[in-house]
Amino acid sequence: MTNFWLHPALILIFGGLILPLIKGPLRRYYLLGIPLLTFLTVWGMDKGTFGVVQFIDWELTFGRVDSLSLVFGYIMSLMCIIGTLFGLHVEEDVQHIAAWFYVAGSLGVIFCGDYLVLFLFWELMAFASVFLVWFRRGPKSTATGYRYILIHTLGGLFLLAGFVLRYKATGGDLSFALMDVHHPDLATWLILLGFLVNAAAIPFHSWLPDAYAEASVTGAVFMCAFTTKTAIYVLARGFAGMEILIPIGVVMALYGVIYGIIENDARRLFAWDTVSQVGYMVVGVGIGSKLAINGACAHAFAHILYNGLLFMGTGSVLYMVGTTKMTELGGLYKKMPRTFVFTLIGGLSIAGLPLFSGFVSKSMIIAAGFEHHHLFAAFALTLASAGTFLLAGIKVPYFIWFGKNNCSEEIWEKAADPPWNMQAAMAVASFFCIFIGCYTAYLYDMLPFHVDFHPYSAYHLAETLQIVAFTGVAFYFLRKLMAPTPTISLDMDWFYRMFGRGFMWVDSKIFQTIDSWVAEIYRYLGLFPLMKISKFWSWFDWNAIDGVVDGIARSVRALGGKVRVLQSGQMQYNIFVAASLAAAAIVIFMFV
Amino acid sequence: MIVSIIESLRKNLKMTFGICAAVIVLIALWGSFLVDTHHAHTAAEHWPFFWALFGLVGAMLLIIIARFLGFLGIMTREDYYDD
Repeated sequence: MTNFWLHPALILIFGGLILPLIKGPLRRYYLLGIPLLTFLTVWGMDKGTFGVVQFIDWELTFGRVDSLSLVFGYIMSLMCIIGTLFGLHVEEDVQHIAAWFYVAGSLGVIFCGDYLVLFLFWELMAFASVFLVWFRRGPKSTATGYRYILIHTLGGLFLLAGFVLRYKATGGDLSFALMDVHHPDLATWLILLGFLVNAAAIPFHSWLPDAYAEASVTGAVFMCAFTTKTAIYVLARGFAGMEILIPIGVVMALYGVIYGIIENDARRLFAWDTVSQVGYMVVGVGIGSKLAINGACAHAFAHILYNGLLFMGTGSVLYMVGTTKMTELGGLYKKMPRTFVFTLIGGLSIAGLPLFSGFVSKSMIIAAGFEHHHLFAAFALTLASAGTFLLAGIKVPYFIWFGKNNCSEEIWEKAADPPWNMQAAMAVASFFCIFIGCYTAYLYDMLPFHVDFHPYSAYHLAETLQIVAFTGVAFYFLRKLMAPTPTISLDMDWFYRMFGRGFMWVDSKIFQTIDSWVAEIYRYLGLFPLMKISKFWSWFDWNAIDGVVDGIARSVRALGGKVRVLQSGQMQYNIFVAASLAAAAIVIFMFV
Repeated sequence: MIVSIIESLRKNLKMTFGICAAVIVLIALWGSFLVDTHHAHTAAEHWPFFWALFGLVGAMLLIIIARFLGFLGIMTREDYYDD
């Protein structure tokens, strides 16, 4: 470190590494203290460039603090507090460590100044977050986790290829700043592609509903906040004004809503809604004006809070009764009234009702669309917000908490409001959703540009209220079509799941047969005599030569035995150990 | 407290329904005739009930399109991938 600037990601990484040593009643305070300290560090940051490190030929920047990175850093570290509070009852240290490393990755990307540091933290994010899927330990978690990490590795490779090409083309420029969005070359496209994979742009979005619906209860609360919004940050930083993003975002906004309408699992439904909402932000980045970028940032800020709240609400249902399938729920208002109110607040916020956070954030993007004559995009986003109200404002609250009671006796018995810490986390998130919606200066003053924008005009109120009211009427008329059914929806992941199966078939039927033939022939012709000879030499080496040369072979074997303990044979644990070592390497690297 | 409010609303379902309907009609009338529309972005927005119809028709279209795509085969049995 070149000066006393402390990277907030380091607090989380260090804090996570020390966590297993903290036991007893202190642990709870420690769990809350570390994210709080991270938040205060971000909150107290001065603008400027810090943490510049010379590494071989490159000058790496860990701390670019400006108004754009600050607003994202602020909300990410705030969400880390809320998410940790929500998961305070989780006994397993590794779950907290994975979540904190994940947030550290996100903060590292937000404050980085060049592509090398960005890539380092980008991968930390992917590899830490996959554990939040695996820790669910459900029947599908392992497979889902592998699909998730494969897609993110692919995205990471696009990014890597992009910035290496760019490095060559520019003669050694690694700095991460606004691209030439009007004359993009191959490198620019590849980097954009890498970012879009994380933003869950169609057709690279399938990882999102797949992973969020299968993640652990607290894992999903973290996942829904960080990956996509960090992608929005890097898009806003590097690709503001790239017009291709406008149609991409519009497709995301509508695609997510349409899949949400036919979805049965409430958490997967909100995952679809996430795709839709991130679409708004992608449109904002694509428009690229001051108002639009402000809108993308404001919407990311509001979205992290209400989306977290929605995943906490549905996560509470999953935690208490063991399912979020709406065909197996209903009438729960009697059993889980507080969870209902919190989830409804999240639903009204995402739908953008007046006095809730979505109203003051998404309207900036739509207003920017109208202002710059992207009429189609502006109307399409308005339509998507009607669809969002249909999903989050009506469908989920109605079919979980009201509607026909489809609960089995077991579910009905188990249903109750969740433990205090989960309720407290939902209360904090609810407070912010309403606070942002009512006191607009809190959010608007943090945004990167100074823009005069007043969401509470009579016309905007009238527009929103009419749309919401008549979306409700549409639901009433077509409520039979909105009723959940016990189905899943096929999506783009069909292609790679089927490709994977085809690959497995070719592998197991054709290559394995050839392989076993070859092995048989080899065994009879070559292996048997070879084994006999090598056995003799091994004996000779072990007893004669190693005895002479101070026992190196014996000590290597002893060390091997120790390392073997770390390798349980399960790939997940290997990755976990590797990711922890990488995190430790980051710490050492930044201090030495 | 929350439960008792919900229960009383459900008990007087007709009244709740009536109030909702009245509010919806009032919103449409207020938004169409009393609000200054010179902030509107396009000419179509000056038509009375424009946003009301936009919400109604738009939401219905979304529902019908989604269900139609589901009917074409996107919605499938839950154990589809389990084979």
